[in-house]
Amino acid sequence: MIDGNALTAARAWEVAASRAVDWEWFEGYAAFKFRYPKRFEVALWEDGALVGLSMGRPTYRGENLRLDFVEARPNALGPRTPVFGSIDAAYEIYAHLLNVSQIRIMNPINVIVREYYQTFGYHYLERKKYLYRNL
Amino acid sequence: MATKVIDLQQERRNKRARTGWTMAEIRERAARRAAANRELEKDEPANLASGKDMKSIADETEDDDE
Repeated sequence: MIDGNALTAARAWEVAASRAVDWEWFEGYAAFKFRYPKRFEVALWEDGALVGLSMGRPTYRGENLRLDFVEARPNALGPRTPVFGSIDAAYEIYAHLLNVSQIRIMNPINVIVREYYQTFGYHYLERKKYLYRNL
Repeated sequence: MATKVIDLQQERRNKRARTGWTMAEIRERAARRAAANRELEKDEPANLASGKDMKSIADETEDDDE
C-alpha cells in the first residue's frame, strides 16, 4: 500500500532531472484516496528504496479494473529493478478478486511505454487512450 | 442419445461470471503471470510512467465502462 513513507520517498522523484511526468504524489494520492474508496494501490520497494508507485480503481459499474497511474523511480536517481511485471501481477490478483473482465492501463505517456505494455498482452484502444487485457 | 449441443467454453465463462474465482485459482494464475512477467519485463523503459495530470482527478467523469 501507499503509506506516508512511500509518499515521503516520492518527494525525491519530483526534482529528478530525467523525470517523465510532473506529478505530486502527496497531493494526487490524497485526492484519489478521497474519491475512490475501492481503489487499488501499490508501492514497490527494493533494498529500502522506493522503486515504483501505482494506483487504480474499478470502473464506474465495476466491470473492469483501471490502472490510472504508475511511475517507476526516475532513471536519474540510479538503476532499479523492473517494476511493471510485479505491478501487473498485483493488479491481476485484485481483478480476479473483483471478478472483473478486463484490466485497463490508462493514458500511456509515449509510444515506447505503450509498446512495452503490449509485450505483456495488452491491446491499445486509440479512441479511448488506454490499453486493455481480457482476463 | 444426447441431442443438446453445449458450448463448454461459454458455459465455463457463464459459471465464472456467476461464482467468481476461488482463492486457489487466483493464487495459481498470479504465480503463472508473475513468472511470465519476469521474462517480459527485462526491457522496461528507463522512465516508465502512465497516467494523466493528477490535478484532474477531481474532475474525472464516472461513465467509463465502455
